[in-house]
Amino acid sequence: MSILLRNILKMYGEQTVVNEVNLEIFPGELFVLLGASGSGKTTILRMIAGLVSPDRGEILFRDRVMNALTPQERNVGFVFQNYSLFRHMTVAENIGFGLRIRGTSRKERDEKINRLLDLIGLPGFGHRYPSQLSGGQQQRVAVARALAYEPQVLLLDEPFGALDLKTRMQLRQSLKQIHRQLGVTTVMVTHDQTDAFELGDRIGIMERGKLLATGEPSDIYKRPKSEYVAQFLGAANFFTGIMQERNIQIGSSFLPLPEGAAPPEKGERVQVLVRPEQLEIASYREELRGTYLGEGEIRDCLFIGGFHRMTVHVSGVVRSITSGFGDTDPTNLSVQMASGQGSYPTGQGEKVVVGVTSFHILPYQGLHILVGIDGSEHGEHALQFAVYLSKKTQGRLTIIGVAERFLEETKAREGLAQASQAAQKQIQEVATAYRRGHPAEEILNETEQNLYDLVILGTRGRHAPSRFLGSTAARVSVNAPVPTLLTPTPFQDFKRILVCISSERVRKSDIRFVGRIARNTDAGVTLFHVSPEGGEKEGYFYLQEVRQILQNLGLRVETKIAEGEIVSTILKEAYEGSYDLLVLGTRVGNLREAFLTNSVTSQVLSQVDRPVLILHIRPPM
Amino acid sequence: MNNTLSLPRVRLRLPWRGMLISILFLILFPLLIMPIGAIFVFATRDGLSRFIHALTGEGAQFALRLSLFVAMITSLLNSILGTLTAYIFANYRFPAKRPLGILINLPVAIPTVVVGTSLLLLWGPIGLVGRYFDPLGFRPMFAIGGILLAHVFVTFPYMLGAVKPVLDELEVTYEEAAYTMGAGRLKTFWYVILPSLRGALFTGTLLTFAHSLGEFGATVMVSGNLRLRTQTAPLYIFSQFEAGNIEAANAVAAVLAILSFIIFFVLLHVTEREQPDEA
Repeated sequence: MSILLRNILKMYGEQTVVNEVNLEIFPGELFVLLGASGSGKTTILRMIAGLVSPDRGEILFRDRVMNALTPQERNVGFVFQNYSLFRHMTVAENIGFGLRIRGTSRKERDEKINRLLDLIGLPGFGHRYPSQLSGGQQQRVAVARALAYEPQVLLLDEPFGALDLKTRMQLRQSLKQIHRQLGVTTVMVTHDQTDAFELGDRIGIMERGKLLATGEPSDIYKRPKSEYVAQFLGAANFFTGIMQERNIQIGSSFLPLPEGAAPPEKGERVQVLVRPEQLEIASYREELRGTYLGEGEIRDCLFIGGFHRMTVHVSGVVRSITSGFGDTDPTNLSVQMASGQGSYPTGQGEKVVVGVTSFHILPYQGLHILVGIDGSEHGEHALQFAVYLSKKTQGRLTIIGVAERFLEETKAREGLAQASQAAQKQIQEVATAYRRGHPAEEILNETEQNLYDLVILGTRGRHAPSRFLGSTAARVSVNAPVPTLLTPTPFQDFKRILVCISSERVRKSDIRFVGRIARNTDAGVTLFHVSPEGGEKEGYFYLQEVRQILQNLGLRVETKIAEGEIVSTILKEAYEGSYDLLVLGTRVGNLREAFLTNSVTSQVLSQVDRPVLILHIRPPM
Repeated sequence: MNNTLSLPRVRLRLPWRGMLISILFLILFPLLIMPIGAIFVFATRDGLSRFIHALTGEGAQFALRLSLFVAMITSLLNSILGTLTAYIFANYRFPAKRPLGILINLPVAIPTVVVGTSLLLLWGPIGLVGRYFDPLGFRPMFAIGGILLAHVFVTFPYMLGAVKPVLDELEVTYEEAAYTMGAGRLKTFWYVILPSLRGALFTGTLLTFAHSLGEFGATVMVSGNLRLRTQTAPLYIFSQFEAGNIEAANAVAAVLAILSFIIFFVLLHVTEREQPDEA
């Protein structure tokens, strides 16, 4: 009996509890829905049973739409979290209830009851009352009761909830055995990962109403599709790596790509997942089986019956903060070593070498935007822009707040919480990052540790002092590894983009980035080139190149060429054409060079009254 | 769901233990114990035979039988009404649910005499509603029907108070389990919900019965206190005492007292037994 859920939506008041879930469960399999409380998994189970109706979408049992059928008509077996055994009936009467309703003869009923009692390992318990049974026994009776009338589907709602570990382990085994014996399509809902991994033929991960991933447990664990899913299933170390010819560069190490892997483009930044058990430590480099990552020392070491869980500080390698065994120092890696396989250092403070035995490259997941807020209205503007872009590109958003001084801490955290809440109303995946220190530095650190596609900051635009030097916006836009968007005004519209082309080239990937944004937001792109007095062919050719790149993405691009003084012409065009975004390039790395030299970009920035996207000019080859 | 051990009561060691307990007895004695004792003393003062003779009189017999009859019917009616009300309140939402919930508990607050008066004003021959029913021959007032009406009204909160909490406590999954197993609403009510209300219904019935037995204020108004027609036991006691027949009054009073004690002790036994079961 296969089960198909199509576009299931359920809302309770304003809250979307189940958000467009599509799921197929194969006949005879044991499918486990894993998620935290409030993720919507129980609601889905109850919808399959017919106890709750979806607001939208269909539920099908082997191609038959079940939406209109009552629970009585669906022939499902349901095991509730609290078992809900009928207290005034004996165990036998409980188990036989479903059969009694169906009018089965007494003799047949008794036979079935006895067989089930044997199956669940409680022969002879028929005359007892539920109050005389232990938790584990009650649970088994609940399962037997649900199976007595041979339902087409068995549904279990957190069946091992309030039981101790040993009983849980026993019951998991029993359930697995019963499932193997009967072969009934079973759907189980739990928040316990061990349940899911041990019992599930396939598992599905739910979070805040959305089904994030489905697949076999080992598959999802080893090759998760997103950072969130990876973390959900266990501790993880995430690194930002740069693709090279046949390996990935992390820090100063080069990890060889696994055989047959299709490498992303060279130079592209990717997110790499390394589970603690995929890292190894040793006393000497020669002892490492995998690729050498770096040297470090053991900060902390815990023995967890069979494993050592360690926090190892490795200088020169930086991991994403939101991973590992809860450590927030990005230079500390989470390593797990199995204690049965040879000896390795375990003492605190011991110097070790760290190696990587295997890893997984996370697939690209849509635009990841980092927006900085500082409590001012400029931060607000930046946030509005970020939310809009995030929504349109169906990407993720991370909001960062930096407290410079100790006194600002609470305000900073509150501001972050508020911003996050506001953003979550429109976007699904919102994360926050809180830092203490110098804003520009912390933001740049964040872009190093985590993989972003864009940084958005608010500026005071025309009101800023003419010397940008030292401002957060300036430093970040010059030094960040990704494009930076500076916005001086509240977010209004996003319909027209003006890309200013000069003879200086930017990265192709950045051009494509602009193109992607334009495509997702349906904004029109105009390429603008101001040829300086006297004419210049370089810029014109480059403009055609960019046009081609964008047209290849399926965009219709306008081009405009003007003559005159660059800065004022650009500003005039921006104003007259009512553009919502200007795209400019800046030289990388050197703040002085970029700004103090009164470059076009810095001049425009100091006089412009609309958002500017800053791309990095590639140094001349 | 294991049986929890009940901890033994820790006896506080207070000073003047003996004196405090003596004071307690000193207060309880004249208030409670002596008056009840007086009934029995007076009832049997002139010998047991006189006692039985007073009881077998026509008036006494009728009064006792009527009271028992009314109490039983009231209990039955209220079991049904109380369960129905509790079920509706637990399962459905409707406008004015809150004020209605308060209203149905009102009888506890209203003086029973006022209840009686208001019933007369409604159903009596010149009452708001009664005046239309009177020519049709439907005259509940000054008849047993009126007494039943009054008793059901007055004792309803007791039944509801016993059943409703138990029904509310019943997790919704209890019913849902039955639904998933194929039982419709009606079957679920009969096989699953009603049996789980057994204890509450029993307690409610005992309470209703006891209150009905002793009901005076409303009964005296709506019944008209017609001897051998609508005179319940409490009314009989009152009338006989007023008329000076103290023995007769005492005899019936003693019977009522004994009945009340029996009901009380059964109630106590039942509720104490149910306590440890409720995990």
